[in-house]
Amino acid sequence: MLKVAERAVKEALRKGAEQADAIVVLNDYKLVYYERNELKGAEESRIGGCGIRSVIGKKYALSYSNSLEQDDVLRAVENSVKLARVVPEDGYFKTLPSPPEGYPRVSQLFDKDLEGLSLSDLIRLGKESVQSALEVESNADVSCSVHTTVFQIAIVSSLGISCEAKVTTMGVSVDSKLEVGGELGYGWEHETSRMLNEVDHLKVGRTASEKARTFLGPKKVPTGTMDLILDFDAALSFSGGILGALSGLEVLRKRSYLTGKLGEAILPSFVTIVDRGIMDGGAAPFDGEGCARRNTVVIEKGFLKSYLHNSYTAMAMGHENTGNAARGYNTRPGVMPTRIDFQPGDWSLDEMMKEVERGIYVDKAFLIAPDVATGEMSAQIDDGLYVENGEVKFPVKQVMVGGRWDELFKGIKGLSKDRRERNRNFVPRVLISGVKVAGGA
Amino acid sequence: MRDVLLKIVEEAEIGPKDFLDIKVLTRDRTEFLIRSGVPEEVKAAVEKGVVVRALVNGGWSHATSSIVTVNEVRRLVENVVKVARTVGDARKKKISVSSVKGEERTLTYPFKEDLRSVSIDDKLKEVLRYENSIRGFSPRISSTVVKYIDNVSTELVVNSFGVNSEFTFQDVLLFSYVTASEAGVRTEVLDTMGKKSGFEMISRLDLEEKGAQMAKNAVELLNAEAPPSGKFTTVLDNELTGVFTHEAFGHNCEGDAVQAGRSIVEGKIGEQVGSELVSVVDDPTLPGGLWVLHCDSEGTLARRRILVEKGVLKEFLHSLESAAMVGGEANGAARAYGPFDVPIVRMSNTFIEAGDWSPEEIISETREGVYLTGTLGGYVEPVKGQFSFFCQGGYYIKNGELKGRFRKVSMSGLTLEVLKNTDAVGRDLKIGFGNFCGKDGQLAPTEIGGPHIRVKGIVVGGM
Repeated sequence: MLKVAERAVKEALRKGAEQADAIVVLNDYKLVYYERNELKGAEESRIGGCGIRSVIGKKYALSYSNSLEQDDVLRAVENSVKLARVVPEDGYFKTLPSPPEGYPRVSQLFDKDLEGLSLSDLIRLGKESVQSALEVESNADVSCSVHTTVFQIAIVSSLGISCEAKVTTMGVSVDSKLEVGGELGYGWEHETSRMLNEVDHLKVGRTASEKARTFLGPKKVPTGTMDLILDFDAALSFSGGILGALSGLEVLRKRSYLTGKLGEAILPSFVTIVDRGIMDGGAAPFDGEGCARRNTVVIEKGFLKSYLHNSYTAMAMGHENTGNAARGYNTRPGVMPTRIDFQPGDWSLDEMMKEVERGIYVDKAFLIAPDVATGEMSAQIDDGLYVENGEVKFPVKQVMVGGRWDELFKGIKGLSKDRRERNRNFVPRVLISGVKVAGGA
Repeated sequence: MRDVLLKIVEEAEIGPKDFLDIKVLTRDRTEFLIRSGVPEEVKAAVEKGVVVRALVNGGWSHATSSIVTVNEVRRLVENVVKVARTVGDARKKKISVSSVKGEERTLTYPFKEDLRSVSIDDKLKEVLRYENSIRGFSPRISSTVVKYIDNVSTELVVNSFGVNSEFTFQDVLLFSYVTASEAGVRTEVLDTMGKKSGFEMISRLDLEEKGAQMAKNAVELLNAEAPPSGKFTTVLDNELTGVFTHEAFGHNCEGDAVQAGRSIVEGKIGEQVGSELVSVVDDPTLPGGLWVLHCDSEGTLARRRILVEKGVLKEFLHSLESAAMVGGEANGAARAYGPFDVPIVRMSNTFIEAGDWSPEEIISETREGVYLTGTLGGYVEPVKGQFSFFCQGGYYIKNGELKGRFRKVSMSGLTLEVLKNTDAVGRDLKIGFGNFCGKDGQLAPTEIGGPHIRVKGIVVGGM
């Protein structure tokens, strides 16, 4: 793979590029899926590609080929140099990044046992997950998927970057649907890890059915101002949204509500969030441009300490590169958080519940975070429980919650002392007060 | 290649009740992403992929690869047949597919201005000119995103029923998103269009007029009020009617969702699911250069599908598998747009049919409510029949008149309640708004639309 990238870079320089870099990826993917408690299918794919960036002055362009055959790669190289001649200049762009002094050591990225799993092995694991969901609720209608990936990446640049990595991933996801006396309940649970022995596929199945039982027969809630307890998944969505607004690209474009807030206290003093670039079992030690990953404290005791950058946004804003370039073979480097390390607080779940006069315990809500551009949140709660005077009353349906980022951040009352790991992201539960709730009742 | 693929299918070790197909898609793609005048992504790409599927003894397997050679296809076919047999042997309930007439078809979809004859500089110049007309409209335009994609594609499909087809087509998509801001207020306007077409989709447009109109909308919304919150009688514009029809309802009519038990209208064929005023159609054969399909990626001839007629659920969208498993006939809805996409059940051009109200009447006959306009995307939980969409803005309706404009607002509700509570349907049918629809990790271009409709009791707000 390094050879394909080296050749592409060499060829780009030969065709007239002043600088060039190439990324080559190859992803071996296996998936089995169960539907209605039965094995539905099994699939394999081997898909990769080569992306080439060519630079001429302050102009650069990208081209790619998703076949690694030499002729196709060379055609893509030719396209990228041709394009780099005709695109307008980018005033922010100065140069491709220089190679780092070294890369951090990260272990547990690759698991030979996981790589060795065959589709038959995945079929067995999926079957066991479905069975464990059915052991909790024998009448449930269970869907399940088990997948593995072996992802190889190589990055080479004309400035001397040359790095490669091989990482494994395994994921198990179970959906359980329950119907009791005309009432419906849905439960979803998932787990992802780089190591085979860290995925508890039986627990995923059990939890999905337990959730389906918990959320059976949801009801509408009234409209009003309430407290929210974000359970771990929802808290991950919320903190991921905050880190999304710290993307140097969004800030540079003035499309983030956190533009111009560097150094300011934006969250309560008990909130500290770190972007963990270096973590065993996390990400490869280099980012999508071959720059070294690092740990970046983004929020310290409520203060906004740093944005997240790739080489382009760091250069454009005069900041240090935080090694957060995210890039596929077919995209230009973007900026993404690596892993979220949201420091815990000192509340127990009991204490949080007792604090709630009227509120919702949010188990699952995608995108429950302020919109990066507007700073306004408007999110649908998928699975949640209505709480009154510290007691769970019933599961909810058709609830929208919202508010402006500054009000929501100010409303954070406490963080739980226990945290959960989700694919090497660590988050506590979050209690927020004074959130606008639009119910249908 | 076609003959070799046919031979590979013929030689595969499968039984008479089994199924095997091979799809090869190759395309040259141009893609620009311009943000606030800066061309952030300018790409010319070579894409190719092969997808092989086998159904053996009632079990599926498929494999994809970016290596499109005869040897690789032979290897994939061998693997897939073996794994499918393992899956089939493990299943109690066997999966089957309905058969399709094995025909040979070769077709090039018509276009006027060949994308290959327009240089990449000229394409980029046009798109930059368009972006500039948005940004240049007012200093209050704070950012723009314009995305342009074109493809010249060839799709080869062969299968064990004897289908043997080769389609060549060109398509163009233009996606624009503009943000205006002033005094801490931000507004957003989104516009999408796309069709099977050559470069004429762009060159025949008055790009500057279109850009200025978008910018004007965004700037005018700056003076609008903060959105209301509560339950309202709501009038939806053509685009929101389309978004609702496609996202909240249409996905429930996809045969694979029904088969998987993930549809709110499973088992309801022949039942009244909505008001008598509502008829929902998905029509891939719609004339006029919309998202037209001659046949789908399984080789089934495409036809107009009446999903709901006067409130009664009539049929689902089907692939060969979902038709056999759910009941009904394969109706050409199995699409696979990308080089690695496996055919899945998709919509094409989806809309509510025209009624007999004029849009003006709908407003003037509404005593109290809101009129919502333009989409900014949204979110659907199909299994629960629950949706929430963001709208660019809207107006209050008081005593039959539009009073006071408000900006970005969300609307949410339960899909079947909306269909039942629709009490006025306009005669102003408009279809367009071409965009990518995402499903199971695949993107496929679709168009949506409908007339203005009025619905009682939609939850608006939450912001």
